[in-house]
Amino acid sequence: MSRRHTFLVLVCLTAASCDPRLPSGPDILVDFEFIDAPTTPLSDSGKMAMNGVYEVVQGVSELGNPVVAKWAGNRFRIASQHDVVYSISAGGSSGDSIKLRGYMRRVRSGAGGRVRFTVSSTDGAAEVIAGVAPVSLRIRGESEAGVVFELRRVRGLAPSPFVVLAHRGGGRNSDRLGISENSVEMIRYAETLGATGVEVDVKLTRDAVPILFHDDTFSPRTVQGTYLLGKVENFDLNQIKALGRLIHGEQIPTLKEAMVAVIDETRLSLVWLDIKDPSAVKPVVELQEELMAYASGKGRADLSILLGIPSQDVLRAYEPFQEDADALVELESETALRLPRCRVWAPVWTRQIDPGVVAALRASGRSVFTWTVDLRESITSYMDRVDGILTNYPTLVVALRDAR
Amino acid sequence: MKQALITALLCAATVSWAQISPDTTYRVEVTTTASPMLNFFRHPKVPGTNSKTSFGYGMSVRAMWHPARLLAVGILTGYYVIARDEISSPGVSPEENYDATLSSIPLQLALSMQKAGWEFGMGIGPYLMMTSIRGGGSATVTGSRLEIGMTFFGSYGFQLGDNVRIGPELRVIAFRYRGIVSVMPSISFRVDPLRY
Repeated sequence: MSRRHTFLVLVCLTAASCDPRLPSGPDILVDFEFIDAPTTPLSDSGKMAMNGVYEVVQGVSELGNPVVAKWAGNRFRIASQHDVVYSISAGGSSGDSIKLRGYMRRVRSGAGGRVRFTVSSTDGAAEVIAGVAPVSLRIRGESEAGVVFELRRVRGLAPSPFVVLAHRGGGRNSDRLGISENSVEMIRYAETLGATGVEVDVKLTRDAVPILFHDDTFSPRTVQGTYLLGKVENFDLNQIKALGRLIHGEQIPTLKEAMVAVIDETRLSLVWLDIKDPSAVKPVVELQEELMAYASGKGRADLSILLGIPSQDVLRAYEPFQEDADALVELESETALRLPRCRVWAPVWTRQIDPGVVAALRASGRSVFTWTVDLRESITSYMDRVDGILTNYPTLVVALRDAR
Repeated sequence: MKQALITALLCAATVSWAQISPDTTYRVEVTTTASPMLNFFRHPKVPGTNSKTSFGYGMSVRAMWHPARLLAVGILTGYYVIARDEISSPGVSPEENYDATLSSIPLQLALSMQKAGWEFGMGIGPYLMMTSIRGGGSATVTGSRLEIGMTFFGSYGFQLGDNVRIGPELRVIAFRYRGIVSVMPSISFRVDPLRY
Protein backbone atom coordinates (compact mmCIF):
# COMPACT_ATOMS: atom_id res chain seq x y z
CA MET A 1 0.00 0.00 0.00
CA SER A 2 1.38 3.44 -0.88
CA ARG A 3 2.09 6.05 1.75
CA ARG A 4 -0.90 8.05 0.52
CA HIS A 5 -3.22 5.12 1.02
CA THR A 6 -1.76 4.39 4.44
CA PHE A 7 -2.29 7.98 5.45
CA LEU A 8 -5.88 7.91 4.30
CA VAL A 9 -6.56 4.72 6.23
CA LEU A 10 -5.08 6.24 9.37
CA VAL A 11 -7.16 9.39 8.99
CA CYS A 12 -10.28 7.35 8.67
CA LEU A 13 -9.42 5.16 11.62
CA THR A 14 -8.92 8.25 13.72
CA ALA A 15 -12.18 9.79 12.60
CA ALA A 16 -14.06 6.57 13.16
CA SER A 17 -12.66 6.16 16.64
CA CYS A 18 -13.74 9.57 17.86
CA ASP A 19 -16.38 8.91 20.42
CA PRO A 20 -17.44 11.66 22.78
CA ARG A 21 -18.94 9.24 25.24
CA LEU A 22 -16.90 8.11 28.23
CA PRO A 23 -16.69 4.40 29.03
CA SER A 24 -19.15 3.63 31.77
CA GLY A 25 -20.14 0.64 33.77
CA PRO A 26 -23.56 -0.85 34.11
CA ASP A 27 -26.45 1.48 34.70
CA ILE A 28 -27.16 1.41 38.36
CA LEU A 29 -30.65 2.48 39.17
CA VAL A 30 -31.30 2.02 42.81
CA ASP A 31 -34.71 2.98 44.05
CA PHE A 32 -33.63 4.26 47.41
CA GLU A 33 -37.17 5.19 48.35
CA PHE A 34 -38.22 1.58 47.85
CA ILE A 35 -35.29 0.41 49.94
CA ASP A 36 -36.14 2.81 52.73
CA ALA A 37 -39.75 1.71 52.84
CA PRO A 38 -39.59 -1.76 54.44
CA THR A 39 -37.14 -0.66 57.16
CA THR A 40 -37.35 1.71 60.08
CA PRO A 41 -34.89 4.59 59.98
CA LEU A 42 -32.21 4.54 62.62
CA SER A 43 -32.01 7.28 65.22
CA ASP A 44 -29.30 9.91 64.99
CA SER A 45 -27.43 8.33 67.87
CA GLY A 46 -27.74 4.94 66.21
CA LYS A 47 -26.28 6.34 63.01
CA MET A 48 -23.47 7.92 64.96
CA ALA A 49 -22.76 4.57 66.55
CA MET A 50 -22.27 3.10 63.08
CA ASN A 51 -19.97 5.86 61.89
CA GLY A 52 -16.34 4.90 62.12
CA VAL A 53 -13.17 3.45 60.73
CA TYR A 54 -13.61 -0.22 59.84
CA GLU A 55 -11.11 -2.98 59.34
CA VAL A 56 -11.91 -4.93 56.18
CA VAL A 57 -11.85 -8.57 57.25
CA GLN A 58 -13.27 -9.82 53.95
CA GLY A 59 -13.36 -7.97 50.65
CA VAL A 60 -9.93 -6.37 50.85
CA SER A 61 -9.40 -6.85 47.12
CA GLU A 62 -12.39 -4.61 46.43
CA LEU A 63 -12.14 -2.06 49.23
CA GLY A 64 -8.59 -2.07 50.50
CA ASN A 65 -8.12 -1.67 54.24
CA PRO A 66 -9.33 0.20 56.24
CA VAL A 67 -12.47 1.95 55.09
CA VAL A 68 -14.41 4.84 56.53
CA ALA A 69 -18.17 4.55 56.95
CA LYS A 70 -20.50 7.39 57.74
CA TRP A 71 -24.14 8.29 57.52
CA ALA A 72 -24.94 11.36 55.42
CA GLY A 73 -28.61 12.03 56.03
CA ASN A 74 -30.41 8.82 55.07
CA ARG A 75 -27.52 7.40 53.09
CA PHE A 76 -24.74 5.22 54.46
CA ARG A 77 -21.42 5.76 52.75
CA ILE A 78 -18.49 3.34 52.87
CA ALA A 79 -15.41 4.89 51.32
CA SER A 80 -12.14 3.23 50.49
CA GLN A 81 -8.82 5.00 50.87
CA HIS A 82 -7.20 2.42 48.64
CA ASP A 83 -8.76 3.75 45.43
CA VAL A 84 -11.83 5.69 44.39
CA VAL A 85 -14.16 2.92 45.44
CA TYR A 86 -17.21 3.60 47.50
CA SER A 87 -20.62 2.31 48.40
CA ILE A 88 -23.81 4.27 49.01
CA SER A 89 -26.71 2.43 50.57
CA ALA A 90 -29.94 3.09 52.38
CA GLY A 91 -32.04 1.25 54.87
CA GLY A 92 -32.54 0.84 58.57
CA SER A 93 -33.75 -1.60 61.16
CA SER A 94 -35.79 -4.60 60.20
CA GLY A 95 -36.71 -6.63 63.23
CA ASP A 96 -33.57 -7.06 65.31
CA SER A 97 -31.15 -6.51 62.46
CA ILE A 98 -30.10 -3.66 60.21
CA LYS A 99 -30.50 -4.01 56.45
CA LEU A 100 -28.96 -1.75 53.86
CA ARG A 101 -29.24 -1.88 50.08
CA GLY A 102 -27.41 0.22 47.56
CA TYR A 103 -24.61 0.26 45.05
CA MET A 104 -20.86 0.12 44.91
CA ARG A 105 -18.79 2.15 42.42
CA ARG A 106 -15.24 1.81 41.20
CA VAL A 107 -15.08 5.30 39.75
CA ARG A 108 -11.92 5.23 37.68
CA SER A 109 -13.01 2.23 35.65
CA GLY A 110 -16.71 3.01 35.64
CA ALA A 111 -17.51 -0.42 37.04
CA GLY A 112 -20.09 -1.01 39.72
CA GLY A 113 -23.03 -2.99 40.89
CA ARG A 114 -25.62 -3.45 43.54
CA VAL A 115 -24.62 -4.37 47.05
CA ARG A 116 -26.38 -5.35 50.26
CA PHE A 117 -25.19 -5.07 53.85
CA THR A 118 -26.56 -6.52 57.05
CA VAL A 119 -25.79 -6.03 60.71
CA SER A 120 -27.21 -8.92 62.70
CA SER A 121 -28.27 -8.77 66.32
CA THR A 122 -25.15 -10.68 67.35
CA ASP A 123 -22.96 -8.26 65.45
CA GLY A 124 -24.14 -5.18 67.32
CA ALA A 125 -27.43 -4.33 65.63
CA ALA A 126 -29.43 -4.41 68.86
CA GLU A 127 -27.33 -1.68 70.44
CA VAL A 128 -27.29 0.46 67.32
CA ILE A 129 -31.08 0.22 67.00
CA ALA A 130 -31.33 1.25 70.63
CA GLY A 131 -29.10 4.21 69.87
CA VAL A 132 -26.05 3.20 71.88
CA ALA A 133 -22.55 2.37 70.73
CA PRO A 134 -22.02 -1.42 70.70
CA VAL A 135 -18.95 -3.04 72.15
CA SER A 136 -18.41 -4.81 68.86
CA LEU A 137 -19.91 -3.94 65.48
CA ARG A 138 -19.59 -5.91 62.26
CA ILE A 139 -21.15 -5.20 58.91
CA ARG A 140 -21.47 -8.12 56.54
CA GLY A 141 -22.35 -7.82 52.91
CA GLU A 142 -22.27 -9.14 49.41
CA SER A 143 -22.03 -7.47 46.04
CA GLU A 144 -23.95 -8.31 42.89
CA ALA A 145 -20.76 -9.89 41.55
CA GLY A 146 -20.60 -12.24 44.52
CA VAL A 147 -17.84 -10.51 46.47
CA VAL A 148 -18.32 -11.05 50.20
CA PHE A 149 -17.61 -8.24 52.64
CA GLU A 150 -17.01 -8.22 56.38
CA LEU A 151 -16.17 -4.96 58.11
CA ARG A 152 -15.23 -4.67 61.77
CA ARG A 153 -15.53 -1.29 63.43
CA VAL A 154 -12.23 -0.24 64.94
CA ARG A 155 -12.91 3.28 66.17
CA GLY A 156 -15.19 6.25 65.84
CA LEU A 157 -14.65 9.35 63.72
CA ALA A 158 -13.10 12.50 65.11
CA PRO A 159 -14.43 15.75 63.64
CA SER A 160 -12.03 17.32 61.20
CA PRO A 161 -12.02 20.90 59.96
CA PHE A 162 -10.36 19.87 56.69
CA VAL A 163 -12.58 21.07 53.85
CA VAL A 164 -13.48 18.71 51.03
CA LEU A 165 -14.79 20.54 47.98
CA ALA A 166 -16.46 18.64 45.15
CA HIS A 167 -15.44 19.84 41.71
CA ARG A 168 -18.26 21.10 39.44
CA GLY A 169 -20.79 20.26 42.08
CA GLY A 170 -19.86 16.62 42.43
CA GLY A 171 -16.71 15.71 40.59
CA ARG A 172 -16.15 12.83 38.22
CA ASN A 173 -19.07 11.02 39.68
CA SER A 174 -21.29 13.01 37.33
CA ASP A 175 -19.86 11.15 34.34
CA ARG A 176 -20.96 7.78 35.63
CA LEU A 177 -23.77 8.29 38.07
CA GLY A 178 -26.26 9.64 35.60
CA ILE A 179 -26.32 13.02 37.31
CA SER A 180 -24.95 16.03 35.41
CA GLU A 181 -22.13 18.24 36.60
CA ASN A 182 -23.15 21.70 37.79
CA SER A 183 -26.72 20.59 38.42
CA VAL A 184 -28.88 21.05 41.50
CA GLU A 185 -29.23 17.27 41.64
CA MET A 186 -25.47 16.80 41.75
CA ILE A 187 -25.04 19.50 44.40
CA ARG A 188 -27.61 17.70 46.56
CA TYR A 189 -25.63 14.48 46.12
CA ALA A 190 -22.23 16.02 46.94
CA GLU A 191 -22.90 15.72 50.66
CA THR A 192 -23.67 12.03 50.30
CA LEU A 193 -20.26 11.64 48.68
CA GLY A 194 -18.62 13.27 51.69
CA ALA A 195 -18.09 16.80 50.43
CA THR A 196 -18.33 19.69 52.86
CA GLY A 197 -18.53 22.19 50.02
CA VAL A 198 -18.84 22.46 46.25
CA GLU A 199 -17.21 24.38 43.46
CA VAL A 200 -19.55 25.42 40.67
CA ASP A 201 -18.96 27.25 37.40
CA VAL A 202 -20.89 30.39 36.62
CA LYS A 203 -21.71 31.84 33.22
CA LEU A 204 -23.83 34.80 32.24
CA THR A 205 -26.71 34.56 29.79
CA ARG A 206 -27.42 37.23 27.24
CA ASP A 207 -30.01 38.78 29.59
CA ALA A 208 -27.40 38.86 32.39
CA VAL A 209 -28.69 35.98 34.48
CA PRO A 210 -25.95 33.92 36.16
CA ILE A 211 -26.36 30.20 35.43
CA LEU A 212 -24.34 27.16 36.39
CA PHE A 213 -22.40 25.98 33.36
CA HIS A 214 -18.73 25.21 32.77
CA ASP A 215 -18.03 25.44 29.04
CA ASP A 216 -18.06 28.56 26.92
CA THR A 217 -20.35 26.84 24.42
CA PHE A 218 -23.25 24.42 24.52
CA SER A 219 -22.35 21.06 22.99
CA PRO A 220 -23.54 17.45 23.00
CA ARG A 221 -20.97 16.75 25.73
CA THR A 222 -22.90 18.77 28.26
CA VAL A 223 -26.44 19.38 27.05
CA GLN A 224 -29.40 17.72 25.38
CA GLY A 225 -31.28 19.80 22.84
CA THR A 226 -30.60 20.02 19.15
CA TYR A 227 -31.01 23.78 18.97
CA LEU A 228 -28.86 24.71 21.95
CA LEU A 229 -25.59 25.21 20.16
CA GLY A 230 -22.81 27.76 20.36
CA LYS A 231 -21.83 30.35 22.94
CA VAL A 232 -23.73 30.47 26.21
CA GLU A 233 -23.75 34.26 26.16
CA ASN A 234 -25.76 34.28 22.92
CA PHE A 235 -28.90 32.89 24.62
CA ASP A 236 -31.44 34.34 27.00
CA LEU A 237 -32.35 32.35 30.08
CA ASN A 238 -35.84 31.49 28.80
CA GLN A 239 -34.37 30.17 25.57
CA ILE A 240 -31.90 28.02 27.46
CA LYS A 241 -34.65 26.61 29.65
CA ALA A 242 -36.93 25.94 26.65
CA LEU A 243 -34.37 24.50 24.25
CA GLY A 244 -32.12 22.38 26.38
CA ARG A 245 -31.37 20.32 29.41
CA LEU A 246 -28.14 19.12 30.95
CA ILE A 247 -26.79 15.90 29.51
CA HIS A 248 -28.66 13.68 31.96
CA GLY A 249 -31.93 15.55 31.61
CA GLU A 250 -31.80 18.06 34.45
CA GLN A 251 -32.74 21.69 34.00
CA ILE A 252 -29.80 24.03 33.56
CA PRO A 253 -30.00 25.86 36.88
CA THR A 254 -29.60 29.51 37.58
CA LEU A 255 -27.09 30.38 40.25
CA LYS A 256 -29.95 31.52 42.47
CA GLU A 257 -31.80 28.20 42.08
CA ALA A 258 -28.66 26.26 42.92
CA MET A 259 -27.78 28.32 45.97
CA VAL A 260 -31.32 28.20 47.34
CA ALA A 261 -31.05 24.41 47.09
CA VAL A 262 -27.72 24.53 48.96
CA ILE A 263 -29.28 26.66 51.71
CA ASP A 264 -32.58 24.81 52.02
CA GLU A 265 -31.62 21.22 51.32
CA THR A 266 -28.01 20.64 52.35
CA ARG A 267 -25.57 21.23 55.19
CA LEU A 268 -22.75 22.19 52.83
CA SER A 269 -20.69 24.93 54.46
CA LEU A 270 -18.86 26.45 51.49
CA VAL A 271 -19.59 27.25 47.86
CA TRP A 272 -16.84 28.38 45.50
CA LEU A 273 -18.24 30.30 42.54
CA ASP A 274 -15.81 29.86 39.69
CA ILE A 275 -16.27 32.88 37.45
CA LYS A 276 -14.24 33.10 34.26
CA ASP A 277 -16.04 36.08 32.71
CA PRO A 278 -15.44 39.53 34.29
CA SER A 279 -18.86 40.73 33.14
CA ALA A 280 -20.44 38.18 35.48
CA VAL A 281 -18.87 39.68 38.60
CA LYS A 282 -21.36 42.49 39.23
CA PRO A 283 -24.52 40.37 38.87
CA VAL A 284 -22.96 37.64 41.00
CA VAL A 285 -21.96 40.07 43.75
CA GLU A 286 -25.51 41.42 43.88
CA LEU A 287 -26.90 37.91 44.05
CA GLN A 288 -24.32 36.86 46.65
CA GLU A 289 -25.53 39.57 49.02
CA GLU A 290 -29.16 38.52 48.53
CA LEU A 291 -28.31 34.87 49.09
CA MET A 292 -26.30 35.45 52.26
CA ALA A 293 -29.26 37.37 53.70
CA TYR A 294 -31.52 34.46 52.77
CA ALA A 295 -29.13 31.97 54.33
CA SER A 296 -28.94 33.99 57.52
CA GLY A 297 -32.72 34.08 57.71
CA LYS A 298 -32.80 30.31 57.35
CA GLY A 299 -30.32 29.77 60.17
CA ARG A 300 -27.51 28.99 57.77
CA ALA A 301 -25.03 31.62 58.90
CA ASP A 302 -22.43 28.84 58.75
CA LEU A 303 -22.51 28.94 54.94
CA SER A 304 -19.83 30.80 52.99
CA ILE A 305 -20.44 31.69 49.35
CA LEU A 306 -17.16 32.86 47.88
CA LEU A 307 -16.66 34.63 44.57
CA GLY A 308 -13.68 32.98 42.89
CA ILE A 309 -11.02 35.20 41.35
CA PRO A 310 -9.01 33.14 38.85
CA SER A 311 -7.57 35.92 36.67
CA GLN A 312 -6.48 39.54 36.62
CA ASP A 313 -9.53 40.43 34.50
CA VAL A 314 -11.91 39.08 37.10
CA LEU A 315 -9.86 40.75 39.84
CA ARG A 316 -10.24 44.15 38.15
CA ALA A 317 -13.99 43.60 37.87
CA TYR A 318 -14.14 42.59 41.56
CA GLU A 319 -12.12 45.49 43.01
CA PRO A 320 -15.04 47.97 43.18
CA PHE A 321 -16.80 45.40 45.40
CA GLN A 322 -13.86 44.32 47.52
CA GLU A 323 -15.36 45.79 50.70
CA ASP A 324 -18.70 44.06 50.15
CA ALA A 325 -18.23 40.58 48.73
CA ASP A 326 -16.43 37.56 50.16
CA ALA A 327 -13.90 36.12 47.77
CA LEU A 328 -11.53 33.25 47.10
CA VAL A 329 -8.34 34.17 45.30
CA GLU A 330 -6.45 31.81 42.98
CA LEU A 331 -3.75 34.39 42.12
CA GLU A 332 -0.65 35.30 44.14
CA SER A 333 -0.82 35.17 47.92
CA GLU A 334 -0.10 38.91 48.10
CA THR A 335 -3.42 39.55 46.37
CA ALA A 336 -5.19 37.31 48.84
CA LEU A 337 -3.65 39.21 51.75
CA ARG A 338 -4.45 42.60 50.22
CA LEU A 339 -8.18 42.06 49.63
CA PRO A 340 -10.11 42.71 52.85
CA ARG A 341 -12.91 40.24 52.11
CA CYS A 342 -10.71 37.43 50.80
CA ARG A 343 -11.52 34.40 52.93
CA VAL A 344 -9.47 31.78 51.08
CA TRP A 345 -6.27 31.66 49.08
CA ALA A 346 -6.56 28.76 46.60
CA PRO A 347 -3.57 28.35 44.31
CA VAL A 348 -3.46 25.57 41.76
CA TRP A 349 -1.59 22.50 43.03
CA THR A 350 1.32 23.07 40.63
CA ARG A 351 2.20 26.30 42.36
CA GLN A 352 4.69 26.07 45.20
CA ILE A 353 2.82 26.45 48.47
CA ASP A 354 5.32 27.84 50.93
CA PRO A 355 4.64 26.92 54.58
CA GLY A 356 5.59 30.43 55.65
CA VAL A 357 3.01 31.92 53.29
CA VAL A 358 0.38 29.49 54.56
CA ALA A 359 1.18 30.51 58.13
CA ALA A 360 0.85 34.19 57.25
CA LEU A 361 -2.53 33.65 55.63
CA ARG A 362 -3.80 31.58 58.54
CA ALA A 363 -2.59 34.24 60.98
CA SER A 364 -4.66 36.79 59.05
CA GLY A 365 -7.77 34.65 59.45
CA ARG A 366 -7.74 33.23 55.94
CA SER A 367 -7.73 29.59 54.86
CA VAL A 368 -5.63 27.92 52.19
CA PHE A 369 -7.02 25.43 49.70
CA THR A 370 -5.53 23.89 46.59
CA TRP A 371 -6.96 22.31 43.44
CA THR A 372 -7.66 19.98 41.74
CA VAL A 373 -6.09 17.12 43.66
CA ASP A 374 -7.10 13.54 42.81
CA LEU A 375 -4.08 11.34 43.42
CA ARG A 376 -3.97 9.47 46.71
CA GLU A 377 -0.36 10.40 47.50
CA SER A 378 -0.93 14.06 46.66
CA ILE A 379 -4.08 14.22 48.78
CA THR A 380 -2.22 12.78 51.77
CA SER A 381 0.63 15.23 51.27
CA TYR A 382 -1.61 18.29 51.04
CA MET A 383 -3.65 17.33 54.07
CA ASP A 384 -0.70 18.33 56.24
CA ARG A 385 -0.14 21.61 54.44
CA VAL A 386 -3.47 23.24 53.56
CA ASP A 387 -6.96 23.61 54.97
CA GLY A 388 -8.94 22.10 52.12
CA ILE A 389 -8.81 20.43 48.74
CA LEU A 390 -10.91 20.74 45.61
CA THR A 391 -11.23 17.27 44.17
CA ASN A 392 -13.07 15.12 41.68
CA TYR A 393 -13.08 12.30 44.22
CA PRO A 394 -14.56 13.50 47.52
CA THR A 395 -15.05 9.94 48.81
CA LEU A 396 -11.32 9.27 48.54
CA VAL A 397 -10.37 12.49 50.32
CA VAL A 398 -12.87 11.85 53.09
CA ALA A 399 -11.61 8.30 53.58
CA LEU A 400 -8.01 9.46 53.79
CA ARG A 401 -8.92 12.31 56.11
CA ASP A 402 -11.02 10.34 58.55
CA ALA A 403 -8.77 7.30 58.73
CA ARG A 404 -5.77 9.35 59.89
CA MET B 1 -18.88 0.12 11.84
CA LYS B 2 -15.18 0.63 12.30
CA GLN B 3 -14.34 -2.77 10.78
CA ALA B 4 -16.59 -2.14 7.79
CA LEU B 5 -14.94 1.19 7.24
CA ILE B 6 -11.43 -0.25 7.40
CA THR B 7 -12.37 -3.05 5.03
CA ALA B 8 -13.95 -0.63 2.57
CA LEU B 9 -10.93 1.62 2.58
CA LEU B 10 -8.46 -1.20 2.22
CA CYS B 11 -10.46 -2.55 -0.72
CA ALA B 12 -10.61 0.86 -2.31
CA ALA B 13 -6.90 1.36 -1.86
CA THR B 14 -6.08 -2.09 -3.15
CA VAL B 15 -8.36 -1.89 -6.15
CA SER B 16 -7.19 1.57 -7.11
CA TRP B 17 -3.56 0.55 -6.72
CA ALA B 18 -4.03 -2.62 -8.75
CA GLN B 19 -6.09 -1.20 -11.59
CA ILE B 20 -5.03 1.67 -13.73
CA SER B 21 -7.93 3.08 -15.71
CA PRO B 22 -7.47 2.43 -19.44
CA ASP B 23 -8.53 6.08 -19.93
CA THR B 24 -5.43 8.13 -19.12
CA THR B 25 -7.34 11.40 -19.15
CA TYR B 26 -7.05 13.42 -15.98
CA ARG B 27 -10.18 15.38 -15.17
CA VAL B 28 -11.88 17.54 -12.60
CA GLU B 29 -15.50 16.62 -12.09
CA VAL B 30 -18.05 18.83 -10.36
CA THR B 31 -21.18 17.16 -9.00
CA THR B 32 -24.18 19.08 -7.72
CA THR B 33 -27.17 17.60 -5.94
CA ALA B 34 -30.37 18.90 -4.42
CA SER B 35 -32.61 16.75 -2.33
CA PRO B 36 -34.93 16.25 0.57
CA MET B 37 -33.39 15.08 3.79
CA LEU B 38 -34.74 12.62 6.33
CA ASN B 39 -33.05 12.94 9.69
CA PHE B 40 -32.96 10.60 12.67
CA PHE B 41 -31.91 11.87 16.09
CA ARG B 42 -30.49 9.80 18.92
CA HIS B 43 -32.20 12.01 21.50
CA PRO B 44 -35.39 14.06 21.18
CA LYS B 45 -34.71 17.34 19.41
CA VAL B 46 -36.31 19.30 22.21
CA PRO B 47 -36.04 17.86 25.74
CA GLY B 48 -39.41 16.96 27.15
CA THR B 49 -40.76 15.94 23.75
CA ASN B 50 -40.63 12.63 21.89
CA SER B 51 -39.73 13.86 18.43
CA LYS B 52 -36.62 12.13 17.09
CA THR B 53 -37.07 12.69 13.37
CA SER B 54 -37.19 15.66 11.07
CA PHE B 55 -37.67 16.38 7.41
CA GLY B 56 -35.28 18.86 5.82
CA TYR B 57 -33.61 19.64 2.54
CA GLY B 58 -30.22 20.45 1.16
CA MET B 59 -27.93 20.97 -1.76
CA SER B 60 -24.31 19.99 -2.15
CA VAL B 61 -21.37 20.53 -4.45
CA ARG B 62 -18.52 18.07 -4.86
CA ALA B 63 -15.37 18.78 -6.87
CA MET B 64 -13.29 15.68 -7.49
CA TRP B 65 -9.94 15.26 -9.16
CA HIS B 66 -9.79 12.05 -11.15
CA PRO B 67 -6.25 11.04 -12.04
CA ALA B 68 -5.82 7.98 -14.19
CA ARG B 69 -6.82 5.76 -11.30
CA LEU B 70 -10.06 4.49 -9.85
CA LEU B 71 -9.60 6.52 -6.67
CA ALA B 72 -10.46 10.21 -6.83
CA VAL B 73 -9.99 12.92 -4.25
CA GLY B 74 -11.72 16.22 -3.82
CA ILE B 75 -13.74 18.52 -1.62
CA LEU B 76 -17.36 18.48 -0.60
CA THR B 77 -19.52 21.33 0.58
CA GLY B 78 -23.13 22.44 0.51
CA TYR B 79 -25.93 23.62 2.75
CA TYR B 80 -28.45 21.49 4.61
CA VAL B 81 -31.49 22.55 6.60
CA ILE B 82 -31.72 19.66 9.01
CA ALA B 83 -34.55 20.54 11.35
CA ARG B 84 -37.02 23.27 12.12
CA ASP B 85 -39.34 23.41 15.11
CA GLU B 86 -41.74 25.73 16.84
CA ILE B 87 -41.03 25.47 20.53
CA SER B 88 -42.98 26.79 23.44
CA SER B 89 -41.55 27.12 26.88
CA PRO B 90 -44.10 25.68 29.29
CA GLY B 91 -43.19 26.08 32.91
CA VAL B 92 -41.09 29.09 32.08
CA SER B 93 -42.52 32.45 32.97
CA PRO B 94 -43.42 34.31 30.84
CA GLU B 95 -44.25 31.57 28.34
CA GLU B 96 -42.75 32.32 24.97
CA ASN B 97 -42.71 30.66 21.56
CA TYR B 98 -39.60 30.21 19.47
CA ASP B 99 -38.93 29.27 15.87
CA ALA B 100 -35.74 27.22 15.85
CA THR B 101 -33.70 26.01 12.88
CA LEU B 102 -30.71 23.71 12.70
CA SER B 103 -28.61 23.82 9.55
CA SER B 104 -25.19 22.68 8.44
CA ILE B 105 -22.42 23.37 5.96
CA PRO B 106 -20.06 20.47 5.21
CA LEU B 107 -16.39 21.33 4.74
CA GLN B 108 -15.02 17.93 3.91
CA LEU B 109 -12.33 16.03 2.10
CA ALA B 110 -13.95 13.57 -0.29
CA LEU B 111 -12.68 10.27 -1.64
CA SER B 112 -14.46 8.19 -4.24
CA MET B 113 -14.16 5.39 -6.76
CA GLN B 114 -15.80 5.59 -10.12
CA LYS B 115 -16.26 2.89 -12.72
CA ALA B 116 -18.71 2.39 -15.57
CA GLY B 117 -20.86 5.29 -14.45
CA TRP B 118 -21.04 4.18 -10.81
CA GLU B 119 -19.46 6.26 -8.09
CA PHE B 120 -19.08 5.39 -4.41
CA GLY B 121 -17.32 7.55 -1.94
CA MET B 122 -17.14 9.28 1.37
CA GLY B 123 -16.50 12.67 2.84
CA ILE B 124 -14.53 13.13 6.03
CA GLY B 125 -14.13 16.32 8.00
CA PRO B 126 -15.99 19.03 9.79
CA TYR B 127 -19.48 20.30 9.49
CA LEU B 128 -20.31 23.83 10.49
CA MET B 129 -23.45 23.30 12.56
CA MET B 130 -25.61 26.40 12.89
CA THR B 131 -28.68 27.23 14.88
CA SER B 132 -31.06 30.14 14.63
CA ILE B 133 -33.70 30.99 17.23
CA ARG B 134 -36.37 33.57 16.50
CA GLY B 135 -39.27 34.79 18.55
CA GLY B 136 -40.10 35.19 22.20
CA GLY B 137 -39.92 38.95 21.87
CA SER B 138 -36.14 38.89 21.82
CA ALA B 139 -33.55 39.37 19.13
CA THR B 140 -32.67 36.44 16.90
CA VAL B 141 -30.05 34.17 18.39
CA THR B 142 -27.53 32.45 16.21
CA GLY B 143 -24.96 29.92 17.24
CA SER B 144 -22.45 27.82 15.39
CA ARG B 145 -19.95 25.08 16.05
CA LEU B 146 -17.57 22.97 13.98
CA GLU B 147 -18.15 19.26 14.52
CA ILE B 148 -16.72 16.21 12.83
CA GLY B 149 -18.99 14.16 10.59
CA MET B 150 -18.90 11.64 7.79
CA THR B 151 -20.74 11.49 4.48
CA PHE B 152 -21.25 8.36 2.41
CA PHE B 153 -22.54 8.61 -1.12
CA GLY B 154 -23.32 6.31 -4.00
CA SER B 155 -24.58 7.29 -7.43
CA TYR B 156 -24.95 6.33 -11.03
CA GLY B 157 -24.53 8.77 -13.93
CA PHE B 158 -26.25 8.42 -17.27
CA GLN B 159 -24.13 10.01 -20.00
CA LEU B 160 -25.83 13.04 -21.54
CA GLY B 161 -22.92 14.33 -23.50
CA ASP B 162 -19.16 14.05 -23.57
CA ASN B 163 -18.72 15.81 -20.26
CA VAL B 164 -22.15 15.68 -18.65
CA ARG B 165 -23.84 12.96 -16.63
CA ILE B 166 -27.06 12.86 -14.65
CA GLY B 167 -28.49 10.24 -12.37
CA PRO B 168 -29.67 9.20 -8.94
CA GLU B 169 -27.54 9.59 -5.84
CA LEU B 170 -28.07 8.37 -2.30
CA ARG B 171 -26.23 10.05 0.51
CA VAL B 172 -26.02 9.08 4.18
CA ILE B 173 -24.57 11.59 6.62
CA ALA B 174 -23.45 10.75 10.14
CA PHE B 175 -23.29 13.78 12.40
CA ARG B 176 -21.79 11.45 14.94
CA TYR B 177 -20.97 13.94 17.67
CA ARG B 178 -24.48 15.33 17.58
CA GLY B 179 -26.20 11.95 17.28
CA ILE B 180 -27.91 12.59 13.94
CA VAL B 181 -28.05 10.34 10.89
CA SER B 182 -29.44 11.80 7.69
CA VAL B 183 -30.55 10.13 4.47
CA MET B 184 -30.68 12.17 1.25
CA PRO B 185 -32.01 10.63 -1.96
CA SER B 186 -31.29 13.01 -4.81
CA ILE B 187 -30.58 13.64 -8.44
CA SER B 188 -26.96 14.45 -9.20
CA PHE B 189 -25.69 16.48 -12.10
CA ARG B 190 -22.04 15.87 -13.04
CA VAL B 191 -19.89 18.01 -15.27
CA ASP B 192 -16.20 17.81 -16.22
CA PRO B 193 -15.10 21.44 -16.49
CA LEU B 194 -11.49 20.41 -16.95
CA ARG B 195 -9.85 17.53 -18.80
CA TYR B 196 -6.20 17.13 -19.58
